[in-house]
Amino acid sequence: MSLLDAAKAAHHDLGKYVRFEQRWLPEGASDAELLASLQADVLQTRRSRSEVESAPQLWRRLRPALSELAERDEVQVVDRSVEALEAQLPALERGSLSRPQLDQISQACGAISSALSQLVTSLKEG
Amino acid sequence: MAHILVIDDQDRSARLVRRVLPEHDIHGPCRSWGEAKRMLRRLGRRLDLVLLDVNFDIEAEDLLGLPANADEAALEGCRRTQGLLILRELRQGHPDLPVVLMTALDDLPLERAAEELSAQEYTYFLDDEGADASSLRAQIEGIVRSRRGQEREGPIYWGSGMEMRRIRSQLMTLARGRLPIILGGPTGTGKSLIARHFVHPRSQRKGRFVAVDLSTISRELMGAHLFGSTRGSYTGSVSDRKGAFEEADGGTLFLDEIGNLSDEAQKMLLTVLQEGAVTRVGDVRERKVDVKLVVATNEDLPEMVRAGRFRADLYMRLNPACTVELPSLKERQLDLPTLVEFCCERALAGPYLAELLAQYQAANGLGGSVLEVVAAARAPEPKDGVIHLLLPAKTASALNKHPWPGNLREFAMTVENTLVFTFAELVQLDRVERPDVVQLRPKLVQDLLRHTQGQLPQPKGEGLRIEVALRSQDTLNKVATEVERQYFTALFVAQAGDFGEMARVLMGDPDSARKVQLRFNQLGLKVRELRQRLG
Repeated sequence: MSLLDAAKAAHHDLGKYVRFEQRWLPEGASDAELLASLQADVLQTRRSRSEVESAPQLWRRLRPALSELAERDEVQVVDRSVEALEAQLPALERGSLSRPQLDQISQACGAISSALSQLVTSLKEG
Repeated sequence: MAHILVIDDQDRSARLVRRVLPEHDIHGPCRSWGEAKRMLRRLGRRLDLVLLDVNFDIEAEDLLGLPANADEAALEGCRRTQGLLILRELRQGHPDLPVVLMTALDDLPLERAAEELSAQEYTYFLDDEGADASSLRAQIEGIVRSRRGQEREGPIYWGSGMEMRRIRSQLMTLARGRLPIILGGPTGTGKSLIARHFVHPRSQRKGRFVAVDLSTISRELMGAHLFGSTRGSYTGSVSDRKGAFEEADGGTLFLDEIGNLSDEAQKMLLTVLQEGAVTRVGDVRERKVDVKLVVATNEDLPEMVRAGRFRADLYMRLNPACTVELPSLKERQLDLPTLVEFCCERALAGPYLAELLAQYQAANGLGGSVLEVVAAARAPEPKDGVIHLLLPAKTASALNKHPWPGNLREFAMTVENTLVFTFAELVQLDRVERPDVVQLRPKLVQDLLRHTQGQLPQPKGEGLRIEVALRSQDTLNKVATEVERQYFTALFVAQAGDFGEMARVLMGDPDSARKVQLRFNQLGLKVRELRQRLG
């Protein structure tokens, strides 16, 4: 698989689905609505043929194909954001998060999505 | 309420669409083409829109278009572009169905996309970066509105058959050009509806649509009627008058029954087509006209030319190479189940039936106004806001067996009459056990059809038509088997899948159904598949 294909796959499987439900939230969504959408986006990011993968699990699966690009800003943003998500996973599963914490997770998801989108664009441009 | 089908290997889109558009009926998700095909068949013409993902992370055996012995890279490639392969399959049977690809155009392999998305007019993209709930809602509602609008354009039902799809596509091309169009085909096949509601709106002309039925105009007045006249040019002509050509200037002129054109009018029409100008009867001044001309006939124009009854030079000017022959209803039997639904929808939009329906709903406390035609023997499960029009097998069979000498016109009237009598009877009843289920009774349909059965002359060449493509290497045995297969298929359709009736036709003995079924199997014909096609 070429680097561009690997980046496209990461953008599709992780970048698209890690903020899939959040994008559709109505303006002024409640804490409970935001929590539910984050739980879906981060804990059950994508259903593969055999299992449901969380965002960190997906990144662990997809990242080796992008190892040549480890020094690029976009990949490092994803690394850092996934790490931030991982630290919040237990609390996210329990649902015991304050609004600022929920917003932080949401921002991390947005950062992953944007970074992967930028990565694909810059690889396409050569 | 719209019917929307989600084809996606993930549950999440369907769940979200249900949340964002709670007022619509969301079907699926179908995780593969196999599942989608079954659902498409079940939903039939009710379906308004498909939401289709591109990337399908599914098992190899569920993938469409995966070559045998594909390696890992080919497998992955097939998964990543599965939506495009599904779109191509879907377009075979649903050329006009709106499809929203749930991806950005940038994500698609462009060279493939160009080929797969040839039906661009009906394929839309949901940009996955920019889309949000309100953009999804706006896009979907816009598409559904536009589709419903197109359906309201006129009572034209194209169906899913290859021939009608070819005709539709040919007419779309011809409509935009400047050359005339000849519409042929038996009476009642929708020639004037097509001219008015399909050709004219697509001709991109701002002028009026003017229709002239030449069978209703006396031959003496034909010239004046078509090309205009000056005061005193004929007895009773008291003022200068525009003809149909001038009225239709900048628009479309539809001349029905062109075979009735008088010799004089034929000569004048030829001049108009050659010069692009019309001269009123009794006048010498030419007036420029720009008209899209559509002519129709159920006569054999080439034969009329040979017999000297129609000018050969005029015929050649009418663009005979692109004559569009509309098939009789008998040749469109596989379309009948969905045609029932189409005609029901149109009939119920009329004022009298709409009022009857409203009375029926009020009397039975029914809300909503959605009607679904169900081809089944038993009543389906109740569904909020839906009245099911039950089409029992015997009713379908009566419709299938009828020769339909009046074609679509007769069919639409039969459906409307059936609904009028059914609802008129129902509103009289004090109590209806399942008011959400209205049966289209076979007895009523049979009674309505009895009035036209056998009264009209059979069209030329009536009977079961089959076509066999002969190739130079084919053996006689192979050709004979193909003829037999097609004959059995056509007979199965004509007899609505009733082997007893087939045996009666083939052997004069309805009790020999088993023998017919045995031969059917030997020919490799699949009863289940054909029954599904019959609806």
